[in-house]
Amino acid sequence: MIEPLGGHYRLLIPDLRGFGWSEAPGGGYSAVAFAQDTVRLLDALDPERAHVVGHDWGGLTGYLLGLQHPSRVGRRLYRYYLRAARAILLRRAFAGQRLAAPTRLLWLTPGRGRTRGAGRRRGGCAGPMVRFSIAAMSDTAILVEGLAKRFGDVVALDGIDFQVPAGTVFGLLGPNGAGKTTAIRILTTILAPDGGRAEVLGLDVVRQADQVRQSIGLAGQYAAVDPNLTGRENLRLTGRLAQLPTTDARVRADELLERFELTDAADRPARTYSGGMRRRLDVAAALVQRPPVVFLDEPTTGLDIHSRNALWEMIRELVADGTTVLLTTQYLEEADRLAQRIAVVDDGRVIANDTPVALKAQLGSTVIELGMGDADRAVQAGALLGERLAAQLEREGATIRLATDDGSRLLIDVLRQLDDHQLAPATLAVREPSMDDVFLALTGHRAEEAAAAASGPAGRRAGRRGAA
Amino acid sequence: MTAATSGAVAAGTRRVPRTVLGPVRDAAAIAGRNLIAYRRVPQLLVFSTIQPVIFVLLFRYVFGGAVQSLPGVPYVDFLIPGIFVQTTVFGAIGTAIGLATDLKSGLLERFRSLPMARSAVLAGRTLADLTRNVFVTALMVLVGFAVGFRVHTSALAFLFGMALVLLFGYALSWVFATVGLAVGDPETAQAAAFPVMAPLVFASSAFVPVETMPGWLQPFAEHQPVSVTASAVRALVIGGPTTSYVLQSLAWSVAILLVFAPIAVRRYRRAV
Repeated sequence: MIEPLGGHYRLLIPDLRGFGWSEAPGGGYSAVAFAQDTVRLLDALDPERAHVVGHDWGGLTGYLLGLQHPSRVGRRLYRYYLRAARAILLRRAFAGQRLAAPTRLLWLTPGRGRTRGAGRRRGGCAGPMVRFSIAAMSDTAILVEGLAKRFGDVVALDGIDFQVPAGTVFGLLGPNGAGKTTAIRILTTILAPDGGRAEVLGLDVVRQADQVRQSIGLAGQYAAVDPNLTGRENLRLTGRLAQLPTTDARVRADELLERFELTDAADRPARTYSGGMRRRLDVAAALVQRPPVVFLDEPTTGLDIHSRNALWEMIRELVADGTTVLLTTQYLEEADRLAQRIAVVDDGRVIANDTPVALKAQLGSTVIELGMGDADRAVQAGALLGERLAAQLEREGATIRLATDDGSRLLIDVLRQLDDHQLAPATLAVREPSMDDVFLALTGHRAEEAAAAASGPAGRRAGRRGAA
Repeated sequence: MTAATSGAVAAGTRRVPRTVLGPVRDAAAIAGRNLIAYRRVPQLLVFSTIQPVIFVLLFRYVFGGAVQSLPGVPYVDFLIPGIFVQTTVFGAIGTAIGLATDLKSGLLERFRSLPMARSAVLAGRTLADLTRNVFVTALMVLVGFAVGFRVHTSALAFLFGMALVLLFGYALSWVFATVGLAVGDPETAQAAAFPVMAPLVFASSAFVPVETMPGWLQPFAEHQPVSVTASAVRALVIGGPTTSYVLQSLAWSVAILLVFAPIAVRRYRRAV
């Protein structure tokens, strides 16, 4: 039935409930049959080259790993899974050891037309119940090519390109009005592009919009929850509108409330929630249909540090489960912390696309920031230092910034020169270059200038600061 | 680079199979959501009912004595059918405000990113508003009876009259859905709705006979939708020739629906 399969795979083992599993004998597709099918599938795979990504570790896959006590499903099933586990495959995946990037995605989907009597033949051969479809030959979850959009005379996107590998976090970084939200709206099928194309999991966002909508979750810039519905009702409504059966929508809502620590507030109208709770509910709503690709548009705007850290943790968990996340942010630190890759967007164009490390490397390893007290002194000091020192230098008001590879050497030189000319700085800071510095180097203006209306990044890295 | 099957995309999540009932199910979910708001925030309903009650009392007991009613018809019997229509017209602003609020809060964006029927948000909203209108007009019937309004024909004719009013209200909901989506802000929606509404309600036969108006206003006041619907209901409950008014009212409602439903849907698809 299943031929041995070569190549690299990502194997997605869905939750058992997704197969219409029921504990009643003969009800739906039995757990035993599913176990057998899974064993067969695992036998057919080359364990060295397959990569298992659980989509919902809470259910069946938990048993696979012996993480939960097996009594609820039965020891028999448990034995199957211990065998099935061969289980290097699974343990390795779960231990977070990433294998070579898989080139193909293998999905386990319920077979169409359940064999009648399959439940009766318990323990016997369950027949070809599971359909294995090989999808997404590429590992690219999001593909954007020459995407353009204008509103009247305003060019929101001026031909942007980027790709997001599956199972990673990709950051779109830029000030307000850079085009980030427009890009997200196009990718989530809300807006039609004027030019270029975009694909999510190989599906065209214009021509296959409806299929795209089944694969994505969106948490927009505002916490888009209905204030008059309770948290639970909000999630159930989203579930129903995502076409989940009513019972599944209920179960899923409860799962998410628990996961986002909203169970206690679940039956209160969302208008009574704090900003952090609303945002958590909003992100939970984005995950209702277990989307493989999630879009988060400035997810931590307006959150306190505690809520922000909790949300970051949540995003990391999502990615550990194999979800792809596209995140927009004005908070340079956020992109730095979360994203494997960052595209810096300014004025509707991608002006840089690299890893955070590489972006920061463009600016030397150390930044020295001198507060000169007033602009006149800063101009004098700038002229002096620019003449005598070999370092990247820029002045902004009363502040001078120098970037260099050899921070301690430069620091000594700077202070000596300034002291010789009676230009001792009022304040002095030495720090690693932040994404702010990168942004400035790339665009010629600071991210905050353009985004002055928005509140400043919460808890931006303070660096090592000392007054001289 | 294409996914082999759409099933692959949805692996792990069981879904209701797509059928013709899908859009109905989605619209019902949205309508349910909108009706919950009336239950949770009763002020919404209270204020939209207090206002027509005040109109009834005002016109029945304050202005009513000065109004020259139709010959042989007590003013209260003239007034109440007009109140029914006026109530649904004012109520339709709720559609504009509700949609503008959803648009502003980003909820419509969430809905549009979900695999749900495109028509569901508007259908659900207008159906919820229809349900509210049923409730509010039922209440106005009680208030009307309390201040002396009587049906002179049959219960069936009366119910048909109410159905005409509700249909007209439903058609207007689509007009105001368009307004709400176009302005995208609840306060502006309210402000924008009033200039549309005021001439329709007051330059009509809802409160006073058209014959008492200046000549230049009469052609408009005679044929505009609020007037013909009010006159149709009046004819149905007082007696007299009904066919012309009923047909005119139906024609208006159907025409408004045919024009504004597609415009509203187009607006919805583009609104962000």
